[in-house]
Amino acid sequence: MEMAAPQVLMIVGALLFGIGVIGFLTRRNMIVMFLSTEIMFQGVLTNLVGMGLLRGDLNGQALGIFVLVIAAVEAGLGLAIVVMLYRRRGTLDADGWRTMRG
Amino acid sequence: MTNHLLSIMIALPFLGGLAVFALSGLSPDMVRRVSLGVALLTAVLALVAYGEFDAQRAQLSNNGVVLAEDYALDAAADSGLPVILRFSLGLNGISMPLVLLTALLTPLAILASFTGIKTREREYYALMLLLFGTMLGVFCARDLLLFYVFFEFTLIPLYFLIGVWGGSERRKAANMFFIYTLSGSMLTFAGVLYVGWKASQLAGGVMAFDFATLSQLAEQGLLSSTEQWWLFLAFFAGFAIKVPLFPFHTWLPLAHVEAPTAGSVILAAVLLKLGTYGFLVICMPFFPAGAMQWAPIVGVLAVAGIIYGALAAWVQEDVKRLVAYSSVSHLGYCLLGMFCLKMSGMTGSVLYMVNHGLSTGALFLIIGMIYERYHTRDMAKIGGLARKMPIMAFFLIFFTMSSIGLPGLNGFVSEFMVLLGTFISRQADDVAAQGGPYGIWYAAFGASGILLGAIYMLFMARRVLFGKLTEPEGGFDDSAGLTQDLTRREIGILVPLAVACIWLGVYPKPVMEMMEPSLQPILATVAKVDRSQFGDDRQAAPGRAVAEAPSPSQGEDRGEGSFSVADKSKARAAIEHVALTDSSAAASSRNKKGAR
Amino acid sequence: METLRSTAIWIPLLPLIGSLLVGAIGLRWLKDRSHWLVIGGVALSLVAVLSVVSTVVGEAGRAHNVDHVAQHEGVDVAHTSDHASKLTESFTLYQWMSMGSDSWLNVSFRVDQLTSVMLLVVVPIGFLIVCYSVGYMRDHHGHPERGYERFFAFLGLFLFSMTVLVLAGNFLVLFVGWELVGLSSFLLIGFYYQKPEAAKAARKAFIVNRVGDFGFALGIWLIYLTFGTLDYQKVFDSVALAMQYDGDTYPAILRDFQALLGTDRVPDATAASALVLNIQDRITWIALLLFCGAMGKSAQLPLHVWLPDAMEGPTPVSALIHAATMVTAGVYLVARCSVIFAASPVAMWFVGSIGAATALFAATIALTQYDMKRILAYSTLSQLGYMFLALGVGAFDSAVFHLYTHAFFKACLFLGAGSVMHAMDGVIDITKFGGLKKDLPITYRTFFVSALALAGFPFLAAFWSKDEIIHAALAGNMPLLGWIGLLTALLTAFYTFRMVAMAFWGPKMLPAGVEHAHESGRWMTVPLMLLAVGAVFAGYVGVTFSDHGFIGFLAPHGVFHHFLDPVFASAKGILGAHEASHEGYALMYWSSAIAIFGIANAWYFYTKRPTIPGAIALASGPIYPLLKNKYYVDEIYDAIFVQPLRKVGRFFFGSDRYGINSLLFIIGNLPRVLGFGLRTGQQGAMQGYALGMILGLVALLWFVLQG
Repeated sequence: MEMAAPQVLMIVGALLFGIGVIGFLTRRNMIVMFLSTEIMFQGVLTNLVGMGLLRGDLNGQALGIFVLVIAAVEAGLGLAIVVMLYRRRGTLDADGWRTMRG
Repeated sequence: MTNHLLSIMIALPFLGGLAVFALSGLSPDMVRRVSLGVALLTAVLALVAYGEFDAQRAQLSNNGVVLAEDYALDAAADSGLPVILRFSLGLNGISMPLVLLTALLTPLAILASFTGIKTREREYYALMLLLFGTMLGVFCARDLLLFYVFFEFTLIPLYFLIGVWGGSERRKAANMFFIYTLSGSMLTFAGVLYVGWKASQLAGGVMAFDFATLSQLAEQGLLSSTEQWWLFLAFFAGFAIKVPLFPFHTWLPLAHVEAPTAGSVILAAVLLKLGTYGFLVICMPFFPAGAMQWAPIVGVLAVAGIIYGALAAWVQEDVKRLVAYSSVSHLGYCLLGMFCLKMSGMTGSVLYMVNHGLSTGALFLIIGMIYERYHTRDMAKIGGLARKMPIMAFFLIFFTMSSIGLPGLNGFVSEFMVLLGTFISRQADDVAAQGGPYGIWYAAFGASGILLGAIYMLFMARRVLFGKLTEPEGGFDDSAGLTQDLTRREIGILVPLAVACIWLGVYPKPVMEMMEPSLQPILATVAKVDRSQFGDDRQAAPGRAVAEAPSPSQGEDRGEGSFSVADKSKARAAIEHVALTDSSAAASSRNKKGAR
Repeated sequence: METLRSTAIWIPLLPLIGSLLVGAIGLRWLKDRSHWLVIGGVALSLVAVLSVVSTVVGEAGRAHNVDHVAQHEGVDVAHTSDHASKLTESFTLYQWMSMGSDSWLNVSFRVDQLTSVMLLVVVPIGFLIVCYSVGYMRDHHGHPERGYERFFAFLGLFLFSMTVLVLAGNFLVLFVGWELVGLSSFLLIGFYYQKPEAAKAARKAFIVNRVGDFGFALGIWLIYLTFGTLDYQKVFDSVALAMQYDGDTYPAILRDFQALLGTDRVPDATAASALVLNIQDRITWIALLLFCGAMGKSAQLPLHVWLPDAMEGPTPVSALIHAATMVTAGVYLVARCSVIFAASPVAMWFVGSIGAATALFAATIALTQYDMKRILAYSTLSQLGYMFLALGVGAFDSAVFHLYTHAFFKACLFLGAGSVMHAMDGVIDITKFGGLKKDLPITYRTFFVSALALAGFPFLAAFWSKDEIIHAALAGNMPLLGWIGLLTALLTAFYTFRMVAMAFWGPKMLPAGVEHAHESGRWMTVPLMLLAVGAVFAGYVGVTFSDHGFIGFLAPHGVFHHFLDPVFASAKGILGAHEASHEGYALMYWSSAIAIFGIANAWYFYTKRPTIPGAIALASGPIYPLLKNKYYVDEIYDAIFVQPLRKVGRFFFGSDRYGINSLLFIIGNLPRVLGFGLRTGQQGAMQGYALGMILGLVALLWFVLQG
């Protein structure tokens, strides 16, 4: 069974997204949760590239590279926030931050 | 200038209000003077408008208006939104007296606040001026959307007037007032949009709201009577709460009691009239069939309100709440007269709006004057004041008499005309071949309000003025420079109102002649509705088996019944069938003839 | 005629101008000279009245002559009636209320014979009483009472209102005057507003009158509904026409109605016949509703409760408003609408019965009262009852005649009581003083003469008028009313002289704190004497000479009645015009005997054997307390009407507060309750929210893929 590149990319993207979701929902450690969101993000990105291929449009891949750069920056910011939170509370457990209770 | 007179008249208080608000350096005294000056200038402009109105009166017939202005913003061309927004103004015989009423009362209300308001004067007077401009805008608007904008905008200044300068429960009162009236108007807005959408059929596919177009809708059969029923309901929701019609009146006593004097005056004298004015210039001409379907319900509610308000007023201890309930009672008359399909009733109804504004406004002013001196309105704590305040006593008795409809003063004329119109409502005439929706019983129960009105108002006058002198500890408060009896400023406030009361009571002819040309087309529109189609109670009433509806077109059916009487007994049978002058007589006698 | 009209307008206006001026500048500038403006206004008004009346007398005489000649020469009477109709036309001052299609309800006046009689009662007596007040409203040192100028302003206002009422040319203006006299009455009863009783009485008077006016207003609207006009003459003529036809259609009826009401109103014969039937159907209702107003204003059962309380006002007010003029407005109304009442046998029966019942009822209460003014008030009720009795049996002219004579002697009695009160420093209870005959000679003499007149003593004013009434009642189809009238006459003579005996006869006694009694000053005594003269001689305008009349030469039905004849002609026509025979003078002897018997008994009971009345009171069981407490009518009204209505009011207010508002509260708080429930789902755990988002997303996808 041979599959065309776009489909492969989209399946991989979906799998990555699913892994990210499950990771985000099940882990308590904020760094792991953050990494899970990054995995979700990469899954979406992979999907984007796949769709670009499907349409035969190189803009998709260009956008992908652009987003990767943004994601790198965002990862730096996100990790910095996690470090700040850890310094405040002395724990990486997400349950320590339930101040948004209604 | 006359081309833009109305715009200027409306804009002036707006600008004045903004100026007062922006000039933070003004001393409170200057603020008072400047705002009174602006208000007076606006009132002068209203008088100028009346002069123009008087000169161009001939234009009034056939729904015409005077001093028309019309600026259209065709949003369809600019942004693809299929709407025509209009800023269109004009005066007709219904709005002119109400504009004059507003222009008379607002400066007086501002003048009456001079000693009572001691905090945040700038904001207070700015809001009063804002309210002034908005009220003028409502009465001048000739476009439904514009009307609605002004109508709703009145809420904002009054909300703050009550909420900031009110009594101890001002927050609750302001919120209740705001939410109550706003929730009603939401439905009204839905109605506005629906009407505008319907009107697009006449305006080239673009939503239009101008009165001229809207009045064509029903005429050209674009609104079925079911649609009109629903539209009337939508507008009823907003207007009936504003009037306020029983049982939607509960916000009124609270708002009145908590509002500052000037707020009460404006609320009672002008803002309540927005509701009745809306019924008269929007509901009746635009949805005549809806109006006639609703007329019996409105009538029953109005009569219920007359009695309910009167009885509730009678048991009050707070003078202001007593007068507030009397408003509920009085405005019932307004609606009775409006829907009775008789010219006398309609003229009386518009006159009633003005008269109620004058007498109730004055009563609230006097109560405010007492309150400034004694800081209470509880009749258990004040009494026998005639001894110490004879001038106040004179005015209180005077306006009490005006309020309970003493002949020679204004209240009587409108009350008499409204009730007479209601009483003879059923009678067919040239205008309404089917007769109107009300009749003797509505008038009889409504007239009981005359009696009850005398009871509670005199009850109030007796307790406040007569009997043993009762004052709160320490006598009256002279910290604001007041004297025991009324000051010259206060007398100056009441005298114009008293003069207006006498003039409208003795010689109201000019005002009536002003109103009639504009009322005529409304009456004609509504009277054309064939009420038999939606089973008017007269056709459904038991014991009146009338097979076919009488056709109003036959010239000889003149309501007295067209039957030739061969012998007396047959005639008696026929007349008993008719009971009271009733167009179905025609049909019943035709049936009889057929049987013979 | 033009001068008549322009003069008539000034009759009400002059007192009004005086009143307004006094009101405006009295307190500050005129002070104790305030009376001059009102006296001047009323005096000028009196001149106007005299001029108007003389014109009317001249007109009436000419019309009468013309009629007479016409009948002689066989000319068509309808043609010549033009002359007579000049008096019945009302003249419009201006247009008042618009009825649409350019038809208006006008402010219009009418001056005819009945108006003249009423004006001759109202204005001259008003003038005398205004003069009397100048003396009365001061203390013994001549200092005016507090509110002196206010009092005169109100009196002027009253005279304005009353003359408007009398001069009215249509029902609307009548109603205006009707309400305005109610206002003046309210203001004057409440003159001593600091006395709680006075304030209460004022309010009661106004409200009870409003009860009557409620019916009156309905009657007026029913008239408008039926006739399409409120003009007196058009309405009366229409009724008279409708009573002639019995529903048949022929051209005459159409022509007549078109001439009266216009072709708009009566376009064809069928409309005309329908109109006739409408009138015949509604006439009883119209009459009864109008009579409601009369019952209120003239204080007839069951709306009589306000009049005795109204005695809280100053005595001149009681004399003018609550005895001589305003309370007779009801009689005037029925007399004015005689055609309407005559057309309805039910209404006539009702009017007569109410009148007779009130006459007897009030007389019984008067037997037990001790307050001089209240005795007189009940006596007024009783005499008004006589007038309605007369109206009910169709003796309209006799009713007006009694109204006229009653005004003189009752005003005199009240002013006499006021004079006594003035001398006794405000005490009016006849158990507290006595034997004043010597100290107050002028007051006593005038009071005595008027009391004789009230008692129906032969040759004095009320003798003639009261006798006529009883005569008419006995001769009519309700003789029972006549017997009640005779019984009441006996009671009247008794209670009147009970009062005279207790106040003036017997040993001298003064209330505590009063050193000696002073006769009042000239301002007060001169009006008293003039009115006493009236009480003696006023009756003779209604008497004629006849060879075989009472004691050989006096017979009823004199100039007065002939003058009024045209006014009541059509009513009498409808009633069948059984021209009451003025024979049967036996009754006059009987009623003289009854009067003298009553007077003698009172004299015997209260001066010779003062213990008898107490013994009778004790022996009578519950009857005496019942009478003394005025049959508990006030208490019954309070329990039946006032308290339940107030309860309903409280219930309404409560339901506003708790019912409707709490419903609103619930609706208003619905979002908050909803939020309260939802917020349990918000635990603040990030992952919980994420799970929610994911589930939502899945659900959305599922929906999209499904459909």
